[in-house]
Amino acid sequence: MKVMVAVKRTIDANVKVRVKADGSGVETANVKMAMNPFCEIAVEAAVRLREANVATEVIAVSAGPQAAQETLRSALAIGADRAIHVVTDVLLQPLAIAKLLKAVALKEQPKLVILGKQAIDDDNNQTGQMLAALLDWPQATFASKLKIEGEGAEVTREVDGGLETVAIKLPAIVTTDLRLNEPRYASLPNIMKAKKKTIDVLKPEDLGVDVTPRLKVLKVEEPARRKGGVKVADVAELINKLRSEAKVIG
Amino acid sequence: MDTAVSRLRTALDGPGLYLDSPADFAPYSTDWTRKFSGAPSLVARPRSTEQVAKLLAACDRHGLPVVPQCGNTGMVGGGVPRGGEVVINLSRMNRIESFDPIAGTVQVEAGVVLQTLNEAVAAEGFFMPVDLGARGSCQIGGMIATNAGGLRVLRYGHMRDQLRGLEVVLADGTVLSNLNKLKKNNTGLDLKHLFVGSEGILGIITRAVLQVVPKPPSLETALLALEERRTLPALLKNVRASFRGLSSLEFIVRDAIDLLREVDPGVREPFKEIYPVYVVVEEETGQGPVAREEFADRLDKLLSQGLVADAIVADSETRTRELWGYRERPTEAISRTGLTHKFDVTVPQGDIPRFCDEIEAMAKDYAGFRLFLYGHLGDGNVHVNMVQGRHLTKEAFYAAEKAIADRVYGEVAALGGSVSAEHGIGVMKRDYLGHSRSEAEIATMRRLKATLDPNGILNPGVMFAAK
Repeated sequence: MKVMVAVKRTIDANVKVRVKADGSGVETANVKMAMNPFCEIAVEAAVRLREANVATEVIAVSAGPQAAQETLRSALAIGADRAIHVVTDVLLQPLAIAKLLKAVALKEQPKLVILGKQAIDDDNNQTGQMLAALLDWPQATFASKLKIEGEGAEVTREVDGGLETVAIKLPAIVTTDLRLNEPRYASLPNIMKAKKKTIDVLKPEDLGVDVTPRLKVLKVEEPARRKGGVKVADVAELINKLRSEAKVIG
Repeated sequence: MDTAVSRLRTALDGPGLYLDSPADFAPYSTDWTRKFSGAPSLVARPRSTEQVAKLLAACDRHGLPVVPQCGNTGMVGGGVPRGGEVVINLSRMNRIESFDPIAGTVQVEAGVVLQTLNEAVAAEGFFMPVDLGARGSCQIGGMIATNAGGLRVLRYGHMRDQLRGLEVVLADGTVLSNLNKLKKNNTGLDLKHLFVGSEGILGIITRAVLQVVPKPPSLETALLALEERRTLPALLKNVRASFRGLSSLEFIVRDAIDLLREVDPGVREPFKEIYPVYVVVEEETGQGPVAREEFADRLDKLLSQGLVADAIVADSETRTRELWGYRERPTEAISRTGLTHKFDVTVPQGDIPRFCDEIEAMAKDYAGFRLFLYGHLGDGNVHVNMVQGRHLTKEAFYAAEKAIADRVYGEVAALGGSVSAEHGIGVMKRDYLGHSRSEAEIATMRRLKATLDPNGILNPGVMFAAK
């Protein structure tokens, strides 16, 4: 069984994100980039299935500019067998990515597509769900446990107030939550091996997908700066402030 | 004490200048190791050079001993009272006063926290080359007064090497100000260097001009696993030759990683197998995939030469921090484990394996202690930690101190090393100054001290016994 994993290159989780002066987006020039942490978890999950002889091949897919190949190399270093890069300089929105992934999935015929539940840059949390709809495959989102059994999968989902376990039929879409696994470190021998693995390059046109953005971003702005705290003299003043200033009690 | 304090308060007062209640003195009384502690008679927190000058003049006049203090992250008892002194804490002098992107210099007050400074210059595309684990608390004044080194000495040197200008207040209140920005300035005796590493016995540093360095396009970091300690010197030689942008090379003996995992079960085993020693290597490179690939190629060569058994390459900032954590976090884990006799020594790099062997053999003679070794492979600085084990009483811990110190410093002296690489002498090592300095040198130090601080009010008991 083939497993396909989608990976996205995002601003490094530890970089302080700055909004562009003109409010058109966030600054990405000369900013450290890395694989979206949820995607790392997705790759790890796929590679573990391969190591457990459940999967026969793991294919990492990314869409975006040339630099996305760095992220694919990281996925190959974790243990993906090969990679597909859909190269485009268009800023991709979730629907466009889902359509690209659908086209690749129809070509590759995986039994399982694993994606991060969301990317830490836009926090959209849409691509996995859209892909499931486009393919008309079952989906299990926010997975914290994943078990493949025969022609189905048992997935434990993190939902408000607890865990929900669902059984789905393959082929299916799974999106990963933080607790699914802890991605391994990229070991040097695996990085060297990854260099020899192939990355196939496609264009959106090759897949017959129009990636033109459907949504227009009007403005991006930073959240209001947190105001410094104040010391209150006593409980009475605290209650007074909670009532009159913070307006959190009646 | 009350009379001395009231005399000082009569001479000089200001809103919030002093902490009134001894209950508030705790953070100023005990150093980072918790081994050195003393109650101050008063804690003063000046906001300006002028206030420092007035405080010192008054203390000098009334014969009040003074302990200068910044972030209180010292390890040798040099920044906390022995008992009864006035602590002059500079934390409130925390302004970054000016930045010159052309000269690459920044002028700061003594109480600026290293990390704050680094973040401020990072926004301008620069970084502070001196970096150390205590970055979130340690302050520039203290770093100069101890000539702090840290993680990138190999490439950038110590605080001394970053210092362009300095403002110091002498014991009698004289302000010695030379906030020079120039790199080349040979005009008479370069007095600022007297105060670098002076540990507060010659004056109080109030402001400084430091050089900062343009940020490299990228930093690559890797954790290396070695089969044996013996190959550390060969690794150093090789890495220095082939990693042209090498900025840090640090080693960790396995036990420290065991401790880290014991204290924080969330820390994972870095490799599939357990190795006796690990090395963090950091290199400044160009940006982009090619730079990282070349970095990996250089590491791969080490692997094929048999110098390294395995390696992990950081492919994100999260990973970089995790890998650095193996080197930086044991310090805190040790502090949470028990009291520690800390030895911060330098030996010639080629002798690091032998020195570690000798120290491990020594530690076996002291039951109840746990030994942790790590340090800077690049410059030969080894941190020896003899930690109080769970079943060792405090009395037994302290009773062994002198014997352990004699053994450690004996080994150091035999190898031609230094008894203090970067922590300074403080009160902890003053009996061992003679292991690394000649009698004539120590006598000259004392003459300088007597000249600049004739009444002996500045940090008495630090560096040498008080007269």
